[in-house]
Amino acid sequence: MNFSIRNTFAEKAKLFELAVFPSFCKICRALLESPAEKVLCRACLDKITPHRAPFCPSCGRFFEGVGEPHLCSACLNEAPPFSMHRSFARYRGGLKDTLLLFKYRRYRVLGLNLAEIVSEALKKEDGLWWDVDVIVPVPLHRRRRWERGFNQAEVLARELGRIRRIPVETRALKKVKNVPPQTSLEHADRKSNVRDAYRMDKADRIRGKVVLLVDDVYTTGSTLRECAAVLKKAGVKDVRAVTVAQA
Amino acid sequence: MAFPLLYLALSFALGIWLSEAASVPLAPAVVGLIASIALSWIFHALKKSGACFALLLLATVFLGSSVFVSFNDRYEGNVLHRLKETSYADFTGVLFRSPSPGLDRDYLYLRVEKIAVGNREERMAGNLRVSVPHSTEFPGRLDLTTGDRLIVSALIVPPLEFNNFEEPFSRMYLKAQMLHSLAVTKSPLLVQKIDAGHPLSILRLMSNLRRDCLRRIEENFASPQDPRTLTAEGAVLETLLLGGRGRLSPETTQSLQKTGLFHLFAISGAHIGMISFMIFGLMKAVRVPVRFSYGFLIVLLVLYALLVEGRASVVRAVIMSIAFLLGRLFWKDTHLLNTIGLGAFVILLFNPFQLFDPGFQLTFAATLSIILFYPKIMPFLPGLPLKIGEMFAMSLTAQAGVFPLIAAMFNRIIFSGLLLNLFGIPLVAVIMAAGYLFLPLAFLGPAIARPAAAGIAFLIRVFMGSTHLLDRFAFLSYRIPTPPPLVVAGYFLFLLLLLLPPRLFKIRRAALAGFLLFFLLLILYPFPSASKNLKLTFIDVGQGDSVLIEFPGRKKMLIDGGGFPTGTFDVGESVVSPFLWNKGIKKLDYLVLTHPHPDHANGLSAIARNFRVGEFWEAFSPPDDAKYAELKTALGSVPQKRTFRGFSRQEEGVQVRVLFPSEGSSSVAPADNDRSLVMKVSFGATAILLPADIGANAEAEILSFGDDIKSAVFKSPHHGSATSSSEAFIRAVAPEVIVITAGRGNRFGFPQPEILRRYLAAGARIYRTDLHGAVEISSDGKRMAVRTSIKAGTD
Repeated sequence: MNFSIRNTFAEKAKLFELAVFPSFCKICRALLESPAEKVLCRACLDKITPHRAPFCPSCGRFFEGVGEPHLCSACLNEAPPFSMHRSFARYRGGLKDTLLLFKYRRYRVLGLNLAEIVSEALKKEDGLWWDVDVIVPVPLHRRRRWERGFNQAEVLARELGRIRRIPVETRALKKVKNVPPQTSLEHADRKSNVRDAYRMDKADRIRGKVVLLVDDVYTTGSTLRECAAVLKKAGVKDVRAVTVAQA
Repeated sequence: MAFPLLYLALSFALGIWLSEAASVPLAPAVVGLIASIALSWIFHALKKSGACFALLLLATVFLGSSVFVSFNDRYEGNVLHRLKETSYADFTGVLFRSPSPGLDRDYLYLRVEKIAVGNREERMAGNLRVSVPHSTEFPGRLDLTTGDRLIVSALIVPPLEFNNFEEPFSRMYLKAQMLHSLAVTKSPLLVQKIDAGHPLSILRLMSNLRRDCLRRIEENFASPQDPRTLTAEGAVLETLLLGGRGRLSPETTQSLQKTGLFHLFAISGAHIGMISFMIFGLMKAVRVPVRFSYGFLIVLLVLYALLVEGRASVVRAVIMSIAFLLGRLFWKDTHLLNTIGLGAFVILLFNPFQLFDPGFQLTFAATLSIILFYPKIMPFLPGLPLKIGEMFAMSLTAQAGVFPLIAAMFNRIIFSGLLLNLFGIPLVAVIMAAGYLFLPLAFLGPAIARPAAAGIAFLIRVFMGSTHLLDRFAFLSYRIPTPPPLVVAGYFLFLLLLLLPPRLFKIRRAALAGFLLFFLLLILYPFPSASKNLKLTFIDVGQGDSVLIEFPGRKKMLIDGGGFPTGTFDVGESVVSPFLWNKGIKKLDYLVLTHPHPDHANGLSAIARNFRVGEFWEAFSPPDDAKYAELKTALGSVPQKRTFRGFSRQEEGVQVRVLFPSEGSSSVAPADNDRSLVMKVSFGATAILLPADIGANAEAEILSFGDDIKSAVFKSPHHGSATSSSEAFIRAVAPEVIVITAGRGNRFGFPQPEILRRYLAAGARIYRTDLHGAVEISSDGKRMAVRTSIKAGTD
């Protein structure tokens, strides 16, 4: 009896929500009928699938075509400051749309969906998750964070931390130079753009720990490399990294 | 569908409108509601969503009808509404909103609990508005807030009503305000507070804040002549910040109405938007998380709506903003058309009478029009700096939505607002922002508040000055007769057709042509107001005289314009002009003043302003009288004639002859009743005698001239006073019909009983404007017919 009353109430609330806030999927424009659906419909979210092709086991760079995983030439030349990095999928299609909505249209709620998808796809990557003590998001400069209202990497980090039950540390690393966004630069300039842009703030909070760096998009890896180097210098035991998409 | 609530709200409104027009009983409406919901459910089960929604719309029509009928039945059956108490009674009750201060009185809004007359006590529930005149013996102010329980000794008074073949506007006004009765009391000393409401009630807290803010405004904007009254600027600030319009001076109101800027004084979306913008910017500056500020803003907007005790425009804007913010909070889309539908639905659900309130209609028409047309016209406007293009597009689209409504409700065609808005909107925004900063400063002390107040007063003077910038261009703002409903309907129909998608360009072009046609019909009113017969209407102007003569053909004559001797109510503007406009009259070929007493003359200034006048007739003029001087100014270059005995005019077979006074007689004062202009109108076999306010002396003088004064219709001289209508005069006139123009419950006791007896003895039929409303006599030269506004209003 109790159960059915709650059911009818939910039904009424759903009807009210549909009447007052009829909402549509921001990708396919379909009506969002279930209250659990926010911004995007289930179908569009289900279309976002992980990368299948081989990749570099160290820096995580995706390769074209098929074949065995092997170290990329860059990592053979010089090992990155992080021990491993994994991206969820390529930055294109539905994932790109979702990330753009998340970051620039400020649908912060999409961070939950993205974190769930990424965590689910990468759950077999034991080397990535094993022994991780703390998750650290790539920070935004405080002015940019103020403009956007949130740090997309931090939102992703918190959701991942909640799903995987790992504490999140946002105060350890700090962006001290408000440099132009990496997306506005050519590949060659990205490395110099972020040089000395990050600094340790509360180093003692992570000293001797295994840290998982989280960011939204991995393009040249300059940002991750810079952050990982700063963390290493501060005495972190091991740095690993995860990003949602790779351009 | 992105905006189902818009359609549901429209159906709901349709249901209300239909049941008001056709007075439907409750039972069938409820049966229809249940039946259509059941059917809709069946179609839902069959997965026919189109039919299901159509039936839901039908159900909403029935819902609107049921809600209206039940509200209306409850209102009409309310004991307080039906109370006909003719002596002072003690009303006990609780204030349900803050007292609203006026220029010469304050209004208290009392939820009555019981009433005591003598030692008889009765429980009674209903809303009463008590008007408390400002008094010299009681120098302080009533210190009351919402929730206070009072005992008020007051007298129930009928609302000011004029029955001129239209439902008096006051009835729907009272319903929309949910007031069951009106009462007056003599002095603030007759208001006694017995206990205060719950100290933590939110309504009470906001009412207290409102009172404190009002005090700060009163302290800093006190008029230098009388520290208890506000300056004109202070009244404007009160209106802008707290939404109380009671103390706006008539001049302020008039110049805002004339220029179409009054919307700036109705707290609405613009104000809510500005407040939200200020708060949001402030919270962002101090790094409050965005979503937290959304939540905070929702709470704040609710409190703001309570603070300004808003009308429909505030409630609409607050509901729309809250829906938008909730959508943001829960990551939901908010379509403006859906939220405006929500606003209308909520308001009408709580008070269906609001549908007939001008404020409700204007705010929804303007907002809907902005939502629909703003995005369409923006691309066509050149990009101008300082958001001038956006502002112009806003005022143009808002104007398009309310244009026919303003023509129909206020008989105004206004173009000047389009230009004045460009200056007025930003200036009022600055004044409001300054005002909201001023209020907290004012609590700190006069040293800080004084200079701030002076600055704000200056800005308000600049704004008020700007409203006169276009005064000399009369074609930018003028009065027109009430447009026929068909023209209004055609205008809106073609306006909506303009929204058709561009691929139907042929229909769109036709729609544009149709729209322009109806627009021209609206602004020009090219409809002649011709009649076949001679028609005289004794207009119900309360205590006073105003007679319209419609000659066969198109010529019109208005004799006197009514008027009240005191107060701010202008009979000419609010009663006589609307009556003439409803008849489609633009021009009065003759305007006649019988004698310059307030109850005949005070209304004429407005008439002279609102209508084209061919000729002005009068007999004797007073030496110096402010109202008379105002009339003369309003007449301007109109040809003026002094008409005396012997003067006559022929108009389409109708003869108008002046019988009195003769030019020589000058022994009495010029403004005396006995020097009133007396006219006889003859058309074939029908003669009508209009003796204005003459007394027995003048009657004797007229008899001594020996003219033929026998008339079938006779206007009772001096409203049925015992000092007129001498037996000999009545015998000579030998009227079949006597029309008495007198105000309901007038304080002179007109018409006096002995005169009524005399008329009955003479065998005449008596019609009275106090009982019958307007009385219309028509004649084709052979037969005569009488029509009255109130059918069975005799006693």
